[in-house]
Amino acid sequence: VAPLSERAFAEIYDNVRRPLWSYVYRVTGQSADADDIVQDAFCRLLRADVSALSPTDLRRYLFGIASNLVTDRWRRQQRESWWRRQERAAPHIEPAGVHDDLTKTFAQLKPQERALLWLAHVEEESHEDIADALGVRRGSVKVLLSRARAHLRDRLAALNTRENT
Amino acid sequence: MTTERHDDVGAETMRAIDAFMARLAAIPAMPHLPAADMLWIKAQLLRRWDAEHKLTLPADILEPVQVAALLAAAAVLVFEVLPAVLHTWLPQ
Repeated sequence: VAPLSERAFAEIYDNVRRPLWSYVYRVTGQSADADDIVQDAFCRLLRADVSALSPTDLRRYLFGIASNLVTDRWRRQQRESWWRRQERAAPHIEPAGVHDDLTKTFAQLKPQERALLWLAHVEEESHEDIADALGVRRGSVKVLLSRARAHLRDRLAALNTRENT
Repeated sequence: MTTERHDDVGAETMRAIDAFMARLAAIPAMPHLPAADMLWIKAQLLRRWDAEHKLTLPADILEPVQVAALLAAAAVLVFEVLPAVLHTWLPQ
């Protein structure tokens, strides 16, 4: 195993931690979860044979690990007992003050839809990279993304209607 | 890193989604992450633990095998010896 050097790690950490954290935070809706998952992703990076990867590939690798960790956490929550799931039925989203409407609208989407939209519109990843990060077939990304956009469009329409009345 | 811009929901919707996502991304949020050197040390410790775990893994796997072999040997012994013991101790 050829891990990263300390200097190379510090560089990638400085460049990627904030966008990676923002991605995980918007998908999970929980800052504490985002803190844990981002730390875990960087620790896994340091234990992997990645010294030959370019900074761009390292960034993709980190987004892939973080996406897997988000999925694992979501599945674990799904397995929790029924009554606890009932408690979580309405997703708990941390208050964002004046931005509540934005965060609540986004939180109404499924976790995978949030991840797809974030990677496509904020990170501006290609369909190929999104497929790698989320572990879905490359041919499916276009369809899944289209559905996610349609769902967000519906939520935005509902939000606009509410604001206008 | 360029996204394929398929016009699957219409240009106007696409613009609205772009604007929404840009506003969402601009909301300030504060991560609580350790400094790079702290995470480096944590990863070194985890890597050392991985290495130790890899070394002790064969012993961990063999332990239940040893117990199973011991129990099987004991069962065979009892099966072989028990008739003779019963023959000796029980009245004819």
